Amino acid sequence: MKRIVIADDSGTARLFIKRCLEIAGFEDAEFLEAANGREALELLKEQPADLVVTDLIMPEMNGVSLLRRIKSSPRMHEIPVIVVTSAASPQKIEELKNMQALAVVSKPISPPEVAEAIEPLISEEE
Amino acid sequence: MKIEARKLKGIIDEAVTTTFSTMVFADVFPADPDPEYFSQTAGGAKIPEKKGLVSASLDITNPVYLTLQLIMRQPMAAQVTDNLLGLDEEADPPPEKIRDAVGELLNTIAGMMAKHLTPEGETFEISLPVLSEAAPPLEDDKTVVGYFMMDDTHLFTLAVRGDAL
Repeated sequence: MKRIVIADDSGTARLFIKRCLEIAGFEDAEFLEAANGREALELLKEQPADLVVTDLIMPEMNGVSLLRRIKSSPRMHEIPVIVVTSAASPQKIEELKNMQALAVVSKPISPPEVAEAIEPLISEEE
Repeated sequence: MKIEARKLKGIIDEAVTTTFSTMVFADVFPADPDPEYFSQTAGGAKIPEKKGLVSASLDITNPVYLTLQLIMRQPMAAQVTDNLLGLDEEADPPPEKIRDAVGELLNTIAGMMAKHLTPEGETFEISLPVLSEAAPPLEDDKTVVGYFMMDDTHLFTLAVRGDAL
C-alpha cells in the first residue's frame, strides 16, 4: 500500500487533494495529513512515504522549506514531491522544478491534472 | 503599476467562474446586484447586511498590491462546503469547516488572478486568508466589486481594492 503525505494548512484543500489522488489512481493508498511543513516532516521521520503532496504557502514551515529539507536529506531525498499551489508563476514553477519537485500543479486542481503529475509514479509501478 | 478597472473585472469574472466550476461543481455567472442584498443603510448609502455573511480576505503582494474579499451568505457557504467536501447535505457543516472552505476558494481565486495581473518574468505573493464577518465594501475608485449568482439562487461578491486601481 502506498503511503502518501498531504501537507496543506487548509483541511478542505487536503481532502480535495486526497479525492483527486484517489480518482487519479491511488484509491488504495494510506493518506496522512499535515497542516504545515513541520508536521509533514514529523510524519516522514516516523516512517518514509512513497509520495509527498504539499501546498506552498503554509504557516510555520512553507512548501519550499519542506521540499528543500526532503531533497537535502540522505534518508528522504528519493521521495517524490508534488507541489500544489495557487501562487505559481512560471518563474516559481521553474525554481521548484530545479529543486527537484516531481511536478507543480496549479490550483484549482482537478483529477486529470493530478493524474498527469503522478503518471511517472504509476508507470514505474507497472 | 496601475490596473484598469474594466480589465480587472474580466479577470475577476474568469477566476471566480473557473474556481467554482472546478472545485464546487456549481454554475456561477456574473450577475447584477440584487436590491435585497443592500438591506442596510450607513451614511446615506445602502450597504449589504453584515449579519449572516461569511467573509474571507487576503492580500496579493509584490509587484501588484491588492486586497481581495470573498463574501457570501451562510446558506451558500454551507452548500459550497458540502460540495467541496462531499458531505451529507442534510447536516449543516461545522463553522470551522465552512470558514476553511471559503478561505481555500479565495486562495485559489487569488492565485488565478495574480497570474493574470503579474507582468511576465515576475513572481507574486499571496497571504494566508483571514476569515471575518465583515460586510462587503461598495464600489469606488479604489474598489471593484464583482457580483455573481450560483445555481440561480445565491448572490455573492468578490471585492478587490488597492492603490493599483
